[in-house]
Amino acid sequence: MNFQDIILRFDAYWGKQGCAIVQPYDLEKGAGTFNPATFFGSLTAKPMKVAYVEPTRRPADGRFGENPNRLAKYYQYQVVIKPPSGDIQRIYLNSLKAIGIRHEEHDIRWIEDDWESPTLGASGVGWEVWLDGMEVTQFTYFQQMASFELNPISAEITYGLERLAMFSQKKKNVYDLMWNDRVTYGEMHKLQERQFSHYNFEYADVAGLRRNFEDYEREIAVLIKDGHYLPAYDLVMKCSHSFNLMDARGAVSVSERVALMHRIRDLAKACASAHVRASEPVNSIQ
Amino acid sequence: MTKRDALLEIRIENIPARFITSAETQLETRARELLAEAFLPFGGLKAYGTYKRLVLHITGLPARSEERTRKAMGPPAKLWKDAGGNFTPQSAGFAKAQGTTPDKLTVETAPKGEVLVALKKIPGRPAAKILAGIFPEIMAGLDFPKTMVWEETRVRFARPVRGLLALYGEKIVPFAFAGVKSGRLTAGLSAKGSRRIAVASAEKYFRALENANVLVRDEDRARMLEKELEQVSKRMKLEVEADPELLTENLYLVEYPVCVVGSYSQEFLKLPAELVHLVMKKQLKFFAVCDSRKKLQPYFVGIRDGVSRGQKNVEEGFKNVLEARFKDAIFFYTRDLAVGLDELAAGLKAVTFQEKLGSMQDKTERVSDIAALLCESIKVPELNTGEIKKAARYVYADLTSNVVREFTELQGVMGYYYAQNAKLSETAAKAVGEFYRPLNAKSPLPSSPESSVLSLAGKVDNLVSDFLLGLIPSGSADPHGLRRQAMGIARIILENNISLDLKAVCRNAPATVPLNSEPLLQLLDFIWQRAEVIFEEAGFRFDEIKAVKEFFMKDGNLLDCRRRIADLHSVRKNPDFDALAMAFKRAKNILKQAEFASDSAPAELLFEKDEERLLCSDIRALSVKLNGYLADRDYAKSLVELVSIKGNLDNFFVKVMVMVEDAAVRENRLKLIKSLVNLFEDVADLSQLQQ
Repeated sequence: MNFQDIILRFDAYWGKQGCAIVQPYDLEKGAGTFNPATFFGSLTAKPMKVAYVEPTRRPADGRFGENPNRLAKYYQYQVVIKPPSGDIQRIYLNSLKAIGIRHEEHDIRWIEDDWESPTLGASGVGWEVWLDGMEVTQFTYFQQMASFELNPISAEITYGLERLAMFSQKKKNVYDLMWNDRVTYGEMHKLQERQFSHYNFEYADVAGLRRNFEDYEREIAVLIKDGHYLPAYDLVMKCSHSFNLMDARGAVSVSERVALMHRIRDLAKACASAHVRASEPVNSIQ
Repeated sequence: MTKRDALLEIRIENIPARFITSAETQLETRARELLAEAFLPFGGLKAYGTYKRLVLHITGLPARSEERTRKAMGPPAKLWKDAGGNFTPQSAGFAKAQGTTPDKLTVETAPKGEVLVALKKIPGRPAAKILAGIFPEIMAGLDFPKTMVWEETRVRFARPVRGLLALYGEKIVPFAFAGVKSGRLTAGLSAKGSRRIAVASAEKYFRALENANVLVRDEDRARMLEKELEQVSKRMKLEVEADPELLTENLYLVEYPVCVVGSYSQEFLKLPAELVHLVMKKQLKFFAVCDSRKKLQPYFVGIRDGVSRGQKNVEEGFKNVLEARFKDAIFFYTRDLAVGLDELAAGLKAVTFQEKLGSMQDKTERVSDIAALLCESIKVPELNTGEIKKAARYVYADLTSNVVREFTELQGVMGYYYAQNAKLSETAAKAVGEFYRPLNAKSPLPSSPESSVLSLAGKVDNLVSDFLLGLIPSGSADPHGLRRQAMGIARIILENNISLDLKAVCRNAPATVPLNSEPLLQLLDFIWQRAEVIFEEAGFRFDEIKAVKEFFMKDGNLLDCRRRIADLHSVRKNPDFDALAMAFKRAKNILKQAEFASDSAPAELLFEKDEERLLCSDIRALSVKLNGYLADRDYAKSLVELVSIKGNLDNFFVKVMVMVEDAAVRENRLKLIKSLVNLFEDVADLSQLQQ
């Protein structure tokens, strides 16, 4: 199945399940979980069903377009449902059926894998889902977000679209994937991978990134004070990406790493607190 | 009364394999306790688990719990009736509180005197009702390594509970847990769409699921898995290696094991066999295949869950993933070989061992020095000290290799291959490869004397370092595995019959500061505790072991101690031995009470009785003989000789009064006893022996 068809089928399937098909958020982020729909959505009691493709950037994972499996930018397909119904696992398995993968013809295994994002102050319990031995999905019940104990709980399903497409198309190199009947993934992304690897590893201006980080941090404080936590959260994502770039440049020492991650977590927590206050004024008074 | 089975099935979203066996044990233990508390007898009770369900099966339950009589003590008996023969307000009140009438009270004698007693019949309760209370209680009490919340009651469990089947015979045992109500529905195999199945009765549960391709009983899956693997072996005319750890793990990854056999490229067999095994086992849980000479063959056996449709898909998928992992391994391995052993070792400078203990390079040097100390203490001419010295430089080299960074379990093992690649002798390469042996209380020891010395050196350094820093294991906390290290030392020494002075080696071991008396004695005591386990397993009695401990604390020679214990154990069967041990204890007590510690010989002129003279000449003769035996460490003969003194010793104690008025005579007799005690104490401290 072509790469774009997998996305279309997922959109159709999850749309039918009642999910709002949200569009990707237009900022760099290290994981789909950063999407404000998920970050803010999981915090409050209001039920939620969303699904979206999220381009994800991991600067340090770039391999100049040479490695068949590693990319600095790839696509996640993410579904977040709150609260999940009792048959959420079956609903997930049916989503695989929607892209032509029938359980009875494959080995599908749920391997214990608890998820954690130290920069978001988030953690969850769940699995990696293996399809004939290949990891294709991360399935997580969020327990914490921005250091808040969540209630109700959200289930987050994150598919690795490239992995699924490689599985479906029986390709061993990601760049050989068919995006549609005419264009390959490589034609669309290889140049980008090469140039961005140079940028991520060689050119990114560390001093500038550090400065940006601090400027954002200051701006966030002001925005939050005045109740504008949505733009503040955009800047948190920018802080996180600046950090990832500095890290790829090898400019972050072990101790600084921990310190920077804590700073991002505190900023994210400030945005989350503001959102919780705004949506549940009664709770915040108690 | 007819007896029925009861069944609880907790259906869960994929529970991690490592949680299951402990949950089974807890289910059984808790159920036993709660059934006993409820006075509900049962025939048998067993728990089972798969990755989808935890099951408790109770057999032979009666329809009702036992009727009981409860006894309540009340006011003194004299308050039963007043002078007019009427019940008093006290007895009437007590009876009412106990749900009876005062005329039914009886009188019993209690410690306080005679009291009124009410007997209350407590009728039996229906089993289903009792179980409806017990089942949720058991569930709430289960302990898992990690728990989560997922629904609004916010109950914590290992993974979301999605179904509860609870039956007593045909009856549903009604209860709810985490928002799920119990019923008679179960679900079939996940790969076949988790089909809903209504179970007619507890007795029909296992059969119903078997028909839906679910083997609930762990042992049924184990039998099936083993049978499947045997058939694959037969078909391939090769041997599938049934690694017991892998068997157990796979048991909890599937509900109905089906083998998937595939092959991989021959080129990956260039990798060390241990690495091939680990790549297959660690993440993919695949079984390796070998020929009749135990040589690895390029095949794997994976286990899938329950269905054999699309075997080709699964085989191909498994093969792709396996080969991708092998490719990574080859990449790492060839890079490590190209880097070379010396370069790997040079990298140790940059690796911190522990904050206060320097780098791994510092540690390497310490181990090398300890190995030299050991060689000196062991003094066996055949020991190739040159090779030990060479190997010692490289024991930790593989820690900087790519392969070991990826697969830490292969530390040591990879060192062997890198050492071989660097053209070290087979002896030295093996000593590097076997450095961490033994990995546990039953696993293989280093295979050569050179390997043994190096392995001992590494363990001594770990122990000495931590004891110096005061990092002494207590209770269950033993983060550096020091107990295992000490056990390793004891096993290497005792199973290889190595005679050496551990105390001197530990004392002289290079460290930030010399190991002085207190931590040194703590360390020796710590090692002795592991040795005690070995001695007790060998069938020696704890008091025999205790009688010898001081020799270890003094000389640090474990092997010598075992000889003493073994000889003591065999000579002890001599019928005169116990009495001798008693006499020895008595002699020691006399010295203790007199606070006598002089070691000078008694003077014959001061003897007054023949018994004294006889004993003295016995002791002299014995002393000469014992010196010879002890030089040969022949404790059996020494003890037999000591037993021979029993007659004259008994006579001495019968006829001779030690603590007499005359100070010179008394002193002389004490000297005589002291010389005897000294003789004994060269062999063992018999005062530790219990009758």
